[in-house]
Amino acid sequence: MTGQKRIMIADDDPGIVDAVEMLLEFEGYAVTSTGDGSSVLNLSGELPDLLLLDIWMSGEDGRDICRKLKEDESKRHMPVLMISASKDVRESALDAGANDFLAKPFEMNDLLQKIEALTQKSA
Amino acid sequence: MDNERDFDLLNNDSIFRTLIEESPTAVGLYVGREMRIQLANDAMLHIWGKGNIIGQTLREALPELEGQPFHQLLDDVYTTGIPYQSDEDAVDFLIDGKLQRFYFSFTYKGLKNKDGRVWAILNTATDVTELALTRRKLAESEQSTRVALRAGELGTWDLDPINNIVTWDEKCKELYGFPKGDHISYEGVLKHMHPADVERVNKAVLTALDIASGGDYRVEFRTIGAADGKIRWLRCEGKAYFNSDGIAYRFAGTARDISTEVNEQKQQRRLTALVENTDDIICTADLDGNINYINKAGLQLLGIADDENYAPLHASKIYFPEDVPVLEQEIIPALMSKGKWSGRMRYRNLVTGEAIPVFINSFRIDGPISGTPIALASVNRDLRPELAANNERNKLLALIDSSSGFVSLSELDGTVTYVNATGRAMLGIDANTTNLGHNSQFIMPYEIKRLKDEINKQLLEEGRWTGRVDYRHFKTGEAIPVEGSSMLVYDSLTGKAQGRASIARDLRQEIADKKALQDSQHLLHNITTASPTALWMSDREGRIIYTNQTWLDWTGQTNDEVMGDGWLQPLVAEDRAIAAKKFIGDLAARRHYEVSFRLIRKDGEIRWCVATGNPQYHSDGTFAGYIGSCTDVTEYTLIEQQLQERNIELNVQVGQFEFVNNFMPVQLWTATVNGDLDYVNQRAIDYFGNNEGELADIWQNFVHPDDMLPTTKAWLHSIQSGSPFQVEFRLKGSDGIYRWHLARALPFTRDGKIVKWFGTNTDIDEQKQMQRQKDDFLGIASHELKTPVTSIKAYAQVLGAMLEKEGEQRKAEMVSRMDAQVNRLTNLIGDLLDVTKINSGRLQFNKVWFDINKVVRETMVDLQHTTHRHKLVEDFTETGKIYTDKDRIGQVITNLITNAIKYSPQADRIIVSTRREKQEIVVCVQDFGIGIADNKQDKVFEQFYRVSGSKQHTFPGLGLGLYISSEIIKREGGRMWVNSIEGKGSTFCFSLPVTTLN
Repeated sequence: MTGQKRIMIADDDPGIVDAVEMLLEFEGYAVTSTGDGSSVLNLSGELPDLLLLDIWMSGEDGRDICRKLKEDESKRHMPVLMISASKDVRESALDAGANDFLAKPFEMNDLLQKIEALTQKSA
Repeated sequence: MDNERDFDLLNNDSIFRTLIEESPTAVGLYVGREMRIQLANDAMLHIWGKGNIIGQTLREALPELEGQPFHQLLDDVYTTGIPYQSDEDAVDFLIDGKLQRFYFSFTYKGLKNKDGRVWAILNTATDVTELALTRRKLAESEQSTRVALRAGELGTWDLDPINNIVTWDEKCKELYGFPKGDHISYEGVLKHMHPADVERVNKAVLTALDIASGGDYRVEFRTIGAADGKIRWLRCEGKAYFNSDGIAYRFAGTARDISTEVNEQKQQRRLTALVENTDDIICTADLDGNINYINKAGLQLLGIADDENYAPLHASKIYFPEDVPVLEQEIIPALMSKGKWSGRMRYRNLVTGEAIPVFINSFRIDGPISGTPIALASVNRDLRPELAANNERNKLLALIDSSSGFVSLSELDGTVTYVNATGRAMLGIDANTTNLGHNSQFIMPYEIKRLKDEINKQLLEEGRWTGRVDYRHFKTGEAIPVEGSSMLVYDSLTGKAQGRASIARDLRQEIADKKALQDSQHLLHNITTASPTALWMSDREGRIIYTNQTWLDWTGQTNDEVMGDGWLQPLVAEDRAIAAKKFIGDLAARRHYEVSFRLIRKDGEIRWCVATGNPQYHSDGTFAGYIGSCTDVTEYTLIEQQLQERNIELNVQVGQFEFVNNFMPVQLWTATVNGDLDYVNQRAIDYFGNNEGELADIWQNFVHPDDMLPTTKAWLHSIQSGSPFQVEFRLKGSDGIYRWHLARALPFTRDGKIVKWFGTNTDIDEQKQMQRQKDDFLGIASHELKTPVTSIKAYAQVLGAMLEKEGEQRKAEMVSRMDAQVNRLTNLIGDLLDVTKINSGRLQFNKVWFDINKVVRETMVDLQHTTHRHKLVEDFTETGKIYTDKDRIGQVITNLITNAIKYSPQADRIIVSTRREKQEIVVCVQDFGIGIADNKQDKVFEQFYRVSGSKQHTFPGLGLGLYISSEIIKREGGRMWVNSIEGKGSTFCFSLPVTTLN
């Protein structure tokens, strides 16, 4: 292993952030989080290995943020796994450039498999 | 009174009897057909020379009358009643044992009874035997005198030249034709002599009276009978006697009638001339065949000049060499043995050598006294003209034979001798039939009487008959109608009728054609007559030349009255000029004619009509006239008028409620049957803004473009079908903002006809907003619910994993069950969300190609884990791939299988089957559980429906699963249904259409 994989969670619901953070840390990931989706656009330095991005955030649409990330040369390579309470937005999420999509509520195993798959690719 | 007494006397039988008895006239009365003698007076008995034979029959009394005609005569009178009268009839009676001849004049008269039937015959007879015998003797003596006179053909005459007295005997006088007893002078003689002979006779007489002549006299001359005017040839011979002075003192002689002699000579000369000049060739030869006479025609034929001396010429020389053996071996032997021979031979022209066909009639001449042959003769006919004529005739015959009409020839008695080929074919007579029979066999039996009474009669009287007659087919007996002509054929020489000729034309085709034409005319007539529309035709000048019965029925005009411009007459006076002027104008321009006018029917009713017409042209392009029609549009016009009136009436009624209409919280409108708005209330005007022009077409101007198509479609459908109109759309208000409205309209009918549409537009924008807010709320709510559930799930799973890691299996298991309950909660939230989406039309599908069997199998495998009691059984057949939302279909299959598990707690298996049916894939899930009652099977697919019953309420769930499933399947273009028997189980199925890959 070349050190811990770093996952960033962007969700406006603290409950989700807390629960998922705990889950991923339990699984051995290094987790950072933000309740303000647009803050990910200002990331600098070393990017996380994967961004867990919620679509429906207060005042922000995760798909817009994703689209902007994918337009940015420096951040484009960062895998984005979008999550939403609605299954129906899967298409639009992928259209916006997300690398994968997961609907809430999700099984822990499903999340871990997707994260594993996406981080393997980039590594 | 005296007369009456006389009559009584006359009636007295004895007086009559006495009268009869004493009558010198023989009287007999014979009664009955057997001729029993009732009465015979003495005179009669005397004639008969018999005793009293009263009471016997005539046959018994007078047996000698057998063989004589009297019995028959009597019987005839008896049977016919016609009296018989004879004059000097001979009767032979047996008198004194000897048959003697008597002559009687007698009568047989039938006596008739009241019925007019003869009951007896009265016979009166007068014996004229003596008279008859005397008359016969006289006749005999006259006859013998005449014989004597005829025998003494010589008459004698004696002339005293000195005293110029002639003495004639009676014969002489007769010869000269003088009446008997006349004294005649010599000048008198000359007077009756033929003028042409007088000079010659005079000269002969003078010569005879000259002594130098010796006195002999012989002359032949003609006399003209003084009494009878007859010309007689006389030969007079005589001698004059002279005295010593040389003067003739007596000149006497005989005269003989030589008329016969002279005539015979004349006959002879004529015969000779005839022989000499006939066209036939006549020649004679001796028994050796040496020709000694040839007449002129013969000489010419043989090329011998008239004056040429051709003898000796043997017969063999004048025949064509090839025919000479016939002469020698056949003709001459026949002549010598039989006396004659006739037949065809060829002569040979001695100069040109040309063969000349002749018909020879040759015969042997025998001596009149000896009876032995003395010469040979032949009369020959040149056959060349005949053969030429025959040629012509043959040509004519060939022509007749191949003529397309029937030609026949028959004898005068009707025996048919010839029928040409066409005739034979027409009547089915075989070509080789020679016995053609009688002309009555050529016609139908019912025509035979006409043949006798009409055809033959007219033919004989006028020489010709023409008319229709039905011939009869010889084989089929079928009647063949013909137009025939029969004529008598006359012999060209005698001018007498020789036979009859008939020509006939087969009329069958003509009749069939005529009938077909009649039929089609009849049909056309029927069609045009039956037409509810008047039809007309005009000539090129615009004059009406035809109209059908319909026009005549309408107007009561006669056909003649319509012709020309008569059709204008029944028009209402003020419309006449318009209709005429329009027609003249259209006619001049050769364009379509159409005009409306009012027509006064024969019953006085005024009807609205529309007349139309189109110019017609001949095949050569020249203008022919117009053909057109005239339609009664009164009903239509009336309906139109009524409709208009009704509309106005309704508008007035609507107007009366204007006040109410205007404060009603809805837009009120009416529309015509065509869908055009003709009224809107004040509220509508206020909403749309007061713009007259735009209001006329609210749909076009104010409906939201996205709602336009469904709105127009629904409105057109309602106008056409008369079904109520209902649609939701957004209408633009005068502020430019669209608000949702519900439009509804119903047709207003009168007498089953739609007269008007009444509609309303109700503002439902608020309801629509509320609905949207509800949907939004549900969406947000379920989303908000999902978020904490997601957190709980994550915590629970982490906790479970931690406990497992720590070996706290019991605790980990409990956390796992907690997670399962969270999943149930998640599903419930999902269902609520789905229903919300379905209701707001926002259910989305992500279509992909997939194998439905694979999805079903995967779902089955997952669900098998949820039950230990049931075995999920696969019953798959190959279905192929389908293009639809894989997750949603999986959701449906999951729903069906979980339901099956839930509602068959006692059963141990569930059968899941798939199959392909044509363009559909069908998936069924069968359980063996509680089942569904018949009357509830439809309801299971309803929203929030839950099976109710004694046990059913114990089954958990919101009752949304089947509703969601069936809505999913519906929106994917498929169907969902259930077959169920209560207590036995249910089979839920759905089908989905297969769209082909490309």
